[in-house]
Amino acid sequence: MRIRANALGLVVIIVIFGGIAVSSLVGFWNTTNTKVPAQITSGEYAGSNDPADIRGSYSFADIRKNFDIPIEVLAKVFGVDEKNAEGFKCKDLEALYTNLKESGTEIGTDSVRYFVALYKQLPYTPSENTFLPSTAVKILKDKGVLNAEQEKYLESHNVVIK
Amino acid sequence: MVARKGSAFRVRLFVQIFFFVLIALITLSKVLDEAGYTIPFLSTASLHALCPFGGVVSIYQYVTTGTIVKKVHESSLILMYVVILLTLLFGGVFCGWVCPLGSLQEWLGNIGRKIFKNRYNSFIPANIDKYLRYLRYGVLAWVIYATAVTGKIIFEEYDPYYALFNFWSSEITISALIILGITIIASLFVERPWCKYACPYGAFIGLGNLIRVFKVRRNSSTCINCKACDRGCPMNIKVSESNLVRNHQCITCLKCSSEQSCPVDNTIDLSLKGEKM
Repeated sequence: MRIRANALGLVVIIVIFGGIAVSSLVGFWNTTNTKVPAQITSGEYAGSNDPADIRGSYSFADIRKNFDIPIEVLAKVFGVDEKNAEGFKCKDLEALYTNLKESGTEIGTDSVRYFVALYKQLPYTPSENTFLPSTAVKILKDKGVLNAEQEKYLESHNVVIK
Repeated sequence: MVARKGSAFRVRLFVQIFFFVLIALITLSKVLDEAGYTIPFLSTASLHALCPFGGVVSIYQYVTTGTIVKKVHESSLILMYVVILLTLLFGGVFCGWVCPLGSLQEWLGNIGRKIFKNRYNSFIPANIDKYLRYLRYGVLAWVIYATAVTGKIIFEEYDPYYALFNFWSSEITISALIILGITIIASLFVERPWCKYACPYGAFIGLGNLIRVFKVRRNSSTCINCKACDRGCPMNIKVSESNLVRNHQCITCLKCSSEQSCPVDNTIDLSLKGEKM
């Protein structure tokens, strides 16, 4: 059996779009995130939503829904106008604080993960360059959720954003 | 009976333009959607959602934790399976017919060919080139390892394909833009430089050339040894030196075939094992 170019072109298109069509029919074709994080599967916190799975595309409203943290708190912590906070995406923090990134200090999606983990007292290890705004540290201290080790770490990993 | 010369070229060009424009329009659609506008009947999926390589780099995490790497979606896994099927059937056909970055390099190469004539695509000495062709496997191994360790699509920071369709975005890193720039300039001297030397997805797909069902075969009894197939091959494969192309760099573009370069009918074709040519 010999395949000519005309047939090959047709087969390529049919296989690609056929694959998409079949996977759509059975419900596997998904091009967007469900905005529901994976759950922690083992240990003391099993069954809790995992802050590590917060994506940059999550809005503050998604964070509120999944982790029960008030929008006002998130807006205040990350210096976002409360009127726009519902739809504000975690990944937009990087653009908001580009000036900090240039100095090796990063406020972005990982900061949200870290803040959520501390606020809800869930396990999470941030990356070395991840910082929290000083407003976040104050709120966490006021809430009384930080242990001595976390307080010490945050002394060197917080930044004044405004 | 063979289709008219040029027909195969036009069919492939049509398919290449179709996928290039489709991806460009979907990228535009997503940008407009975020600004509150919609293009009817067009997906607003992210580029990550439509990239089968996202599925490849997610495999480790998917198998070990059941989750997908951040920014990658289930659609990437579906496309990965679809491309694996195409690869098992026809080898690197995704690279030669579908990948928009491969198409762009090829179109830019047409300019290079006009400038450098016969010198085009032969600037790199063969004894160096043959080792450089394995670089992309190193890139593939690094990307899979780094993604498994970090849980992030680490390659995004260097990906010229992502930079090509999102060059205006703040998400694009300088390194990705530089690599895209180098790829564009190098395409004027070498055909498909990214595909040949650095593309990790091309490396993954290239392995399929060793086991594909439909293979590029040369009928030595009708071959007149004119080497037109060798000159036609964008990946510099010496098609004339064997009866079966198993080269890991073949992109199944059929430029070597009797439908394009080869002047003798039914001498070089894509066919099943055992086919009499």
